[in-house]
Amino acid sequence: MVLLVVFGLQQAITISIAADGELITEKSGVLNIGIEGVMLLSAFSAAAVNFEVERFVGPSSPYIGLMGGMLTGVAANFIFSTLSAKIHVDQVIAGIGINIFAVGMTYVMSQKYFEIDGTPVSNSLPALFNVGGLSSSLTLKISPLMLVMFVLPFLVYLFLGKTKFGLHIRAVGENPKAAEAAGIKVVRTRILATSLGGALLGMAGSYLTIDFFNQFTPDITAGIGFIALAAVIAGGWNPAYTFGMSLLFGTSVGLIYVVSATGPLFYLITMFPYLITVVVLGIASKRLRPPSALALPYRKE
Amino acid sequence: MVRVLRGVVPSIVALLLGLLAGSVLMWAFGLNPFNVFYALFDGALGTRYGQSTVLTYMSSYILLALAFLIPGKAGIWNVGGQGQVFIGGITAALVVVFIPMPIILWPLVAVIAACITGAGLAAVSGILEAYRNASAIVTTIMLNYVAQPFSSLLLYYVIVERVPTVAQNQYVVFPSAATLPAIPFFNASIMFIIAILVAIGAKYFLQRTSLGYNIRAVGMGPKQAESKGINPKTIKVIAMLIGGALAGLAGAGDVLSAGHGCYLVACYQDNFAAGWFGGEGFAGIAVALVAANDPIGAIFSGIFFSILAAGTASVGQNIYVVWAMQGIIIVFMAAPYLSTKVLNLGGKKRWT
Repeated sequence: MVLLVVFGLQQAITISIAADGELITEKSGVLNIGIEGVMLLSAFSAAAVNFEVERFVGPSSPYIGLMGGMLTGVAANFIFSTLSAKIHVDQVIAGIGINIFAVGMTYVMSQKYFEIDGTPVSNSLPALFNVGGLSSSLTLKISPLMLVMFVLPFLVYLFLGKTKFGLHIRAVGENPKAAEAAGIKVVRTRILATSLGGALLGMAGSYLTIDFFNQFTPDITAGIGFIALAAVIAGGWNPAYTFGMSLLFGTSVGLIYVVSATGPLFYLITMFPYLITVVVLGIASKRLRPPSALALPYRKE
Repeated sequence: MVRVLRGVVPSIVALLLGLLAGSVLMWAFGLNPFNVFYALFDGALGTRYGQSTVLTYMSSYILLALAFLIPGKAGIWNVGGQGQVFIGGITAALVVVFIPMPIILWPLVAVIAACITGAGLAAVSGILEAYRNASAIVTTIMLNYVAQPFSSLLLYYVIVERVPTVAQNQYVVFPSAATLPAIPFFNASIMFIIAILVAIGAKYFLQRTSLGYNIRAVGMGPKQAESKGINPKTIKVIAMLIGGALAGLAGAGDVLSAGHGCYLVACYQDNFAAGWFGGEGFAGIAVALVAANDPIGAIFSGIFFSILAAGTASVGQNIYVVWAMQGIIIVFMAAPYLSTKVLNLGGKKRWT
C-alpha cells in the first residue's frame, strides 16, 4: 500500500505538473491537444541538452537539462499559440499535427544524436531524500520535482485568482470581446499564458528523461500528456481538483510498477489507467463548464 | 470545376509546404532530399512489390480517413481510429479462429463482426460526448491505449495458442479460405477496391441521403439542427458508429488480406514504444485533413500518403522523417488562412 502511494506520487509528478501547465493555457481560451507532443519534444531536449553539454563543455548539471526541456516547451507552445492566435489555425487539428510531428521528430533526432533508441542520461536530478525499507532491496527516490508538484497548484491558484495578469488570462478565456473592450490585449495575453504553460509542460516532460526513466526512449510519454489533459477536464479547470485528479490518475499508472505483473495480468494492468480516465471523464464531465471561449479563435472586428 | 480547384488549392499548398519542411529536415540530417524522394517514389512505384504495398496501405488509409471525417462532419472528433482498427482486426481474427464457415461466408462474417466491434468502441466515446459531455478527443485517445493491450492480450493468449505461427510468432497463418480474395498480378487483396467504393458511397451518403444531411446539419450548428427537429445527440452517436465500423473494416482488411496475416503480430507488438502516432489511425487523420474532409478527396490523398508510406518502408529507417513531415502537413492544413495568404503574398494586410 505504501509502495502504491510512493509509486503513485512519482507518476503523479508528470501528470500534475503538465496538468497545471495545461490549466493555465486553457484558462486563456487556448486548447492545446498537442500537450503530449510538446512533452515528448521537451523530454527529448532535456536528454539531448544534457548529452551535448557533457560532450562539448564538460560535466553537466541535470538542471541544465531541465532548463533545456522547459525552454523547448516554451518555444513549442509559443509557436502553437502564435499560429492559433494570429493566423487562426484550428487548435485541435494543429494539436494533432504537433503530436504526430513530435513522435517522428524525436525518433529521428534520437537516432541521429545517439544512434540508438534509448539514451541513457548519466546524471539525473539528485534525490531530495530516499525512502528505504519499503520492500526488500528497494529504495525509492523522492525527486525535488515532487516538491514542485505539491507547491504548484497553490501557486497556480494564486496566480490565476489573485494577480492582475491571472485575471486577464481568465477574462480572455471567458469573454475575449469584453476583455478587449476593457483594454486587455487578447492575442498577447493568450500567447503569454500558453508559453507560460509550455514551461510547465516542458518541466513535466523533462522529468521523465532526466529523473524517472533516466533515459530517452521513443514515445516515452505514452499517453501521459493526454491523461494530464483529462485531469484538467475532470478537475473542472480548478487547480485543487485538477491536482486531486492527477493524484488519482498517477496512482493508477503507478499500479503498473507496483504489480510488476507478467502474462495476461500485465495487459489488464496496462490498460487500467486509461480506462479509469475514461470512466472518470464520463462521470465528471456532465456538470463541468469549460472556459467559454475555449478553442475558439478570436477575431478583432 | 472552379469550385473544385478552389477546394484543392489549400491542400496542395499544405502538401508542398509540408514536403518543403520535410526536405529541410532531411537536409539538416545530412540527407539529400532529392535522393530520398527519388528512392521513395521509386521504391513505392518502381516495383511490383512496392505497388502492392501501396494498394495495401491505400485501403486502410482511405477507410481510416472516412472513419475520421464522417464523425467530423457531425462535429465530433474521432481520434480513436487506431484503437478501432485494433479491435476490428482482433475480432476478425477471433471469428476466423473459432467459427469455421464455408468459403465465401467466412471472411464476410469476420468482416461484419469487425465492423460491429469497431463501431461499438467508437460508440462509447460518441455516447460519452453526446450524453455525458465528455470530450471525444480525449476519450477516443484513451480508448486507443485501452484497445491495444486488450487486443494484444487476446492475440497472445487466445489466437497465437490456436493458430500456426511462423518466424517466432512474427506471422500468424490463417486458412486461405478465410482470407479476402487477392487481385491478379499484385500481392494485395480486393480491400482497396472496397475502400474506394466505400469512399464514393460515403460521398453519396453525406450529400444525398437524409441521414447524411442530418449529420452535416449537426456539424454546422447543433442548435439550428435541433430547431429543425433533428436530435443532435443521436446523430452524433450514429456518426461515430459509422466511423467506428469503417475503422473496424480497415482492421479486418489488415488482418485478412492474403499474405498480411503477418500484419497482425507486427502491429500488435506489446511494447507501446515506437510509433503509436505513426500508426495508420493517425495517418488516416492526415489523409482526411489533406482531403479537406471530402470523401472523394480522401481517395486521392490516400493514394499520396500510401505512396509516401510504402516508399519509406523501402527506404528503411528514414520512415520517421516522413512521420515528422506528416505532422507538419497537418499543421499547415489546420491553417486555411495560411494557404490563401501564401497565394496572394502581395496583399495589404498580413494575418489579420
